[in-house]
Amino acid sequence: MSSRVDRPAPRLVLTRPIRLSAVAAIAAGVVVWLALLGPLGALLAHISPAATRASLGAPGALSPLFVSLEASALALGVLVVAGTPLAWLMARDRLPAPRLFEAGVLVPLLMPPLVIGLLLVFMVGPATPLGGALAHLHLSASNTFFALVVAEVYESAPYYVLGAQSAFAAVGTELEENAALLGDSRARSFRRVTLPLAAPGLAMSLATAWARAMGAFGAVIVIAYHPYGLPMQIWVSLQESGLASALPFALLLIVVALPLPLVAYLWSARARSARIEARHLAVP
Amino acid sequence: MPKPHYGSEMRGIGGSAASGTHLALPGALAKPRALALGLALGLALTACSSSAKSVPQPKASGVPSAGSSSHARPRAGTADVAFAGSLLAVDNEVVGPGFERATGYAYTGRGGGSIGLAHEIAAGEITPGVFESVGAAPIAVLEPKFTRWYVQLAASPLVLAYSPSSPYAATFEAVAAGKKPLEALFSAMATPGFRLGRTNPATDPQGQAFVMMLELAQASLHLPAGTLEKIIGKGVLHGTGGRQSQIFSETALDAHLEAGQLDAASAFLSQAVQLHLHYVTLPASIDLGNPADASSYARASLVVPGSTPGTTTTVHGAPLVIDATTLEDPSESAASSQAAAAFVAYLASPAGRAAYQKEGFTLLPEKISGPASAAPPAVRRAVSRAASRATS
Amino acid sequence: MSHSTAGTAGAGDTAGGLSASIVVRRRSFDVRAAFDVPAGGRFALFGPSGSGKTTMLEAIAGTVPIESGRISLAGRVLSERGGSELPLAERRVGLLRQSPGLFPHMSVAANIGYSLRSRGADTRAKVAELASRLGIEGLLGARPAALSGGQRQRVAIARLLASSFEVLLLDEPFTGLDAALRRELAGVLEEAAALRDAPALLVTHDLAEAQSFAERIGVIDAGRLLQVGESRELVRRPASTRVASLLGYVAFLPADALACRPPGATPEGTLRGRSVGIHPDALYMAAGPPATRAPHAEPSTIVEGVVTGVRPRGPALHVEVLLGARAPRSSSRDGVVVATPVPPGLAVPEPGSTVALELRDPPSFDSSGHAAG
Repeated sequence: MSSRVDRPAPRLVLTRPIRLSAVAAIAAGVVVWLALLGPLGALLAHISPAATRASLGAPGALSPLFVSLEASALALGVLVVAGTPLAWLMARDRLPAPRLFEAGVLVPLLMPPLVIGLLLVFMVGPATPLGGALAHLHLSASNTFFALVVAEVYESAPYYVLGAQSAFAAVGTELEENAALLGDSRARSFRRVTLPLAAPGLAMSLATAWARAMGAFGAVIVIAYHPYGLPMQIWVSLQESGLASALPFALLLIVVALPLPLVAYLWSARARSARIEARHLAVP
Repeated sequence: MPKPHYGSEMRGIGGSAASGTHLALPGALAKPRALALGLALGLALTACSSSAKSVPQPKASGVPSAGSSSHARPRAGTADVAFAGSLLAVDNEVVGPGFERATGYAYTGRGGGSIGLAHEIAAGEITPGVFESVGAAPIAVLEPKFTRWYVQLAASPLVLAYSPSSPYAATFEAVAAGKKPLEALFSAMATPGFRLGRTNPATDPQGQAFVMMLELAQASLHLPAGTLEKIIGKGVLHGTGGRQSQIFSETALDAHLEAGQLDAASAFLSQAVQLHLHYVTLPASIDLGNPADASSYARASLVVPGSTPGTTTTVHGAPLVIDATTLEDPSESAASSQAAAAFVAYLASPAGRAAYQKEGFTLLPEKISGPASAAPPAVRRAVSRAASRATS
Repeated sequence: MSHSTAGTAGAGDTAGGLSASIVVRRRSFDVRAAFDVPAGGRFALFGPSGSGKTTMLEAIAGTVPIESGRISLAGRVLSERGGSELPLAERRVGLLRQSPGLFPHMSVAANIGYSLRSRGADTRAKVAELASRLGIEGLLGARPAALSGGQRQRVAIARLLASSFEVLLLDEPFTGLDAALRRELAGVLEEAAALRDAPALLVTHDLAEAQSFAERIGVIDAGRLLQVGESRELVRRPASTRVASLLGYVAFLPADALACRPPGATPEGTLRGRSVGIHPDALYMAAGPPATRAPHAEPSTIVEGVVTGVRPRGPALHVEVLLGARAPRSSSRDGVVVATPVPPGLAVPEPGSTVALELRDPPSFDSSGHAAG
């Protein structure tokens, strides 16, 4: 008898009624999401299997894909090597005029890519001092694979550096200090503490930079008309024979460029929610 | 011939550039003014080819604004003009505003590669009322669904623009002044290490024209065998290979030249005039600017990619003529159709022709090709008035 | 930052001791302090929040740069004016903050063994030993996020004990923990410091915590080290009214405003113009005239006050007594109400009645607020 009395009351599934405003908010979110996906829908609606076979089946048709993949991978490598230390210094306010550095990183973000390309001509063109120095290394930043990488680096760098900066800033100095006080050198604490904790955020910014590099066009068309990566191929196909033959390359670009950011996003979202869940489980 | 377009990112800025705003650039750059001009032009092209249309401000042409007695009463209807990129400056800065004042219709313009624009129109991506093309071939893409006629306006001869800071500048100057024979030009270009810039023959009529100009020069000037291959690489005439590092987008080509990063580049005379480039004019027999030489131009030919992937087509040399037509569009309002016809009529009027001549185009007698009856009455009237002016 | 304020702080320059004499620039005010903690000594910096005590501790740890001065530990210079700051990794400083600062991506075991370089069996043994000392041996595989606040602080302490520190710096590490846990953890830390003969420095705004931990206490306010002294002596003889009020003195009444008994018991000449510090814990209901009771080691003064109320507090009853209200030239407006327990065996006084309180050895201050000699 008494056990019956002690039994806990049945749990309520809904703690409060679903409000109309919540439904409206969800509906609005879905509408915006669908609007953002609109171009993709249009792409899928207008692409024809025959044209896709013709465009992608032609001999050498996939070479722009490999050019894009290789150039973007190289650009990302450059960003990781050169951008990560800068992002860390910016996140730790270790630079003499931090706001100035942030503004500097924002410049290539604010400049239209086409303008970046035009200005790169003046910076690294073959007749410039920098271009002369590159020539000694048998490199040219005009219509070469190297030029493509340079253009992609400029178009994607701000996304990585600013993203990495906030990923490092989110780790905070306290844990780095603790590691150092426990005997770690700066490099060692970076490897053992900063990097693992910033990794999800770094992966997200790397994924964003990847998408930007794969899709880089404005600066590319100015300094790297050749060799064709996917965006240039889309443009040239559009010019040569119209939209129908250009769309398959656009689809290819999305199919190839999307998985990496998607995986990075899922991973960082899981890392985030794992920490939140654990916090909820904790009972003081 | 056209200068295509570039990057959808740039719409907002392009709009302001087209309306006469120039970008300020660091004075430390080698040629700030030329660069600013190049940038403004590039941005304008960008804007024009995108769906955002730029409406030139009256002040861009330096003419007094509203209230002036020269203004026609405003009328409903907008002339939506798609034009070859090389017409950007003349159409947006001079002809467009002049047309608005003279007729009271509104004007919007967009520039792009003629072939690319034709494909966009055919695909329904854009729906302009007027199409101004370099050469009739792009208009042929639209026949007969969109139009069955066009009117020839002016020629746009090819020149060789060069950088004054190039080591070859002295040679070019001497050729331009007639102190050295034309052959020196081609032997300079054939020197290993010469930095030549041209546009893509697969997409741009100017890129095709430049190759055909070399073909004509090789034959008519009796250049040493293999000069053409030394200049642009092997296989270009057959649509394969060639020196890809010479290929630039239409807008970027001028920027590279103005930055001194190229020794020389192909250009239309009109472009060279508008951008204040240094240039060498070529004889009419090879500059593709003289309709009278059409038959000899036709001897030059070039293989380019066809309109379906994997196919090729052979194009033959033809005069570089600015042709204009109006486009049928069932969705278009009557007012817009009238505005479009009025724009082409304005192009054929003395004011329109004067503007083209001033910007470096060679005027040609107006002539309607195709069934004249298909052309709007306003255009027919303008052409016949021009014909009577010519005879009187 | 004169060294003289800490002149009694002991011989920090002896082997193993901590000696700090520093200026740290902050936005609101500069923090200046000089003190020594001998090897094995326990020192507390006591002050209100925002007084600069944490800044001082962080400067010793090396996480905040010093503007000038010198910090040395066991004969090694940690920081010195002119820029030489020993890197954090080489300072051998054990810092425990209020927030445990565990590495969230590592297990409890990995956190504890963080400073141990090898991955061998002896490392595992050491981690297990420290975990059992702190009662967290069952949590070794857990992630910090799954722990309670107390458990996290235990892990942080175990991690600290595994490292090779030569000074222990504690920045209110027990805030938010219950009293029993505080005592337990403080005991572990005291033992660890004693074992290594390392100086220990506690920063706190809780006087009881400072007194129970440290032999010597420094009172800090607005960036200045106002007084350093032995823990009980400091409270009995504050150097100024400012220090006294930080230490819990509730009022400073003019000596001639106090109603003394018998009249004239306190010669007016000695106290005239001075004020007497009232600390609630130094006030007792007098059982009778001083003469009738066992002589105290300390002199005391009997003062009269008016009972304003009687309230229970804990198991005892407290009388609330208004002192100093009858003062002819009172500078303390209406006097002050203090509460004191009714000792067993005494009748509970009626509100409104006059009661005699024994003020045991009160400090007195001159008109400028300094302790009267």
